[in-house]
Formats: sequence, structure tokens, C-alpha cells
Amino acid sequence: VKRLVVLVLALAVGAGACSRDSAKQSKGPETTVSSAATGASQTSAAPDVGPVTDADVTEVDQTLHRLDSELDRLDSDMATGEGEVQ
Amino acid sequence: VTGALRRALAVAAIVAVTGPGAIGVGAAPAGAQQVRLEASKKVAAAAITRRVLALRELTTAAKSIVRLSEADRSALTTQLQDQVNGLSSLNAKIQGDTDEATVRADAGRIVTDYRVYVLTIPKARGVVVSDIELNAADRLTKLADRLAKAVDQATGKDTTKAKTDLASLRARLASATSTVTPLPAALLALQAAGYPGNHTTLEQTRTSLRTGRAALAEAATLARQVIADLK
Repeated sequence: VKRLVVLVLALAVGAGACSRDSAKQSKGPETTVSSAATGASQTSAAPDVGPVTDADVTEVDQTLHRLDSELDRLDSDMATGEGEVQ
Repeated sequence: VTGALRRALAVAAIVAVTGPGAIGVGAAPAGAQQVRLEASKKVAAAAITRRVLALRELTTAAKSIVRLSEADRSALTTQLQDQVNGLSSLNAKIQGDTDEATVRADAGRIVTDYRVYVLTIPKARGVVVSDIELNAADRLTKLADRLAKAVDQATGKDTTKAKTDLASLRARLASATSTVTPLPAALLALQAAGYPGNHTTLEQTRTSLRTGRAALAEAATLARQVIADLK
């Protein structure tokens, strides 16, 4: 009887451990999706600490290039009339 | 007289069989009116579809706003969606109109009630551009802060020029930020009913955005200069 009780307890402990591992695994992808959805990857790739290099300014230049194309589109928008509707 | 009478009888007989429109007598036939009515509806529907597509594109751009307040971002997306909803309802009305005069009047409202191309789209674009400029200013401000630390830590070097250039950099950033910060609110206040009077605000905003962009470009150049000064 003692052996049976020990066996049952061992099985119960093992099953609990498996259950916890399973729960951790099932939460893994959810966390990954969540962090991607927040747009975290859109933040600056360069660290905000340490010596400043030209690479840090180049990153700003890329934003300015995007800005230029949007400003050009604004010019284009403002040159457009309403057109014919009837 | 007999010939004239015969011709008159012949015309009367044709009119009786085909109706007055078939030989150019009296009003246009119902069939031709219907064709014109349907053509007008198609032109109006196409005009609305073009506007809705343009508004949706701007809505996507508005959702990528990161620097402006949530209130500004929300106000812009709401205004764009309101126009999409209004135009969709107007299209439904037009497609149900039963005479050409009503279609013409409703089609005119596509322009006068919404001003999508001359006001809404430039206005939304201006808000998006403001966001990009303020975001760039934030990034450059962080760089300026790091450069200031680097200047403080540069022992044994003459940092006079680096300090002067850094001060110029900060002045450009302050100029860009103060120029651009009020623009989103001014743009969001523009309404179709205020057109064309409010077009001046659009023009002034575009000029301010160009001024802000120039200040940011100068700030980026000065950041590079400070880096060089410290080498």
C-alpha cells in the first residue's frame, strides 16, 4: 500500500510539472505577437547611450528623407483641384 | 394643298406610333433621359469612390502618427472617417435619385460639402508631416543631450567650437519645435464650410512645415559638426 501511495504521489507531482511547462509554452507566442503589435521594432535601432557617431545622425537623415517625400506629396495635394463630379 | 396634307398626316401617323421624341419633336424620350440619368449617377459614384480611396489612404497614414497627442490623432482619424461615411451616404442618395436635376444638385455636394481634395487631404497630410517633424526634433534633442555629455567629458580638449555648434543646434531645434507644435491644432480646426477662406491657413501651414524641415536639416548638419569638433 505504501508503494502504491508513493507511486500515485510521484505521478501527481510529475503531471503538475508537465502542466506548468505546457502553460508557459502556450503563453510564449502570445507575448511575441503582443510586442510586435506595439510597434516596438519601429523605435530607434541605435542606443541612446554611449558616444554619438555619424550613424546616429544618419538615422535622423532617414526620417528627414521620409519627411521630404511627404512634403512633396503635400505640394502635389495642394496643386490638385476637385475635378469633375457631374 | 393635297401634298401638304399628305405629309402632315404621315408625320401625325409616325408620332402616334413612335412618340414625339423619335423625330425630334417636343421633349427628349424617357429612354434617353434614363440613359443620361444613369450616366450622371455613374460619374458621381466614380467621383465619390476616388475620394473615399484617398481618404482611406490618409487614414492609414494617420494611424502611424507617433509623436502627436492621442487627442490629435483621434480627431484626425474621426474627421476622415466622418467624410467617408458622409460620402457613402450621399452616394446611396444619388443612386436613388429619380431625376437629373436632383442628381446634379447632389453631385455638387460631393465638392461643396466635403472639399476632399482641396482641403481635407492637404490638411491630413499636414498633420502627418507635423508628426514626422516633431519626431525628428525629439531624436535630435536626444542626440544633443548626448553630445552635451560628450562635451563635458572631453577633458584636455578645447571644446569652445563644439559648445558653440551645440548651442546653434539647440537653437535650430527650438525654432523647429515652436514653429511646428501649433500646426496640428490649426489644421484640425479647418472645415469644408470655411473653404475657400481657410485655404490661406493651409498655405501658411505648408510654409511653416518647410521652415521646420529646413531647421531640422540644419540641426542634423550641426550635430555632425559637433561630432567632428570633438574628434
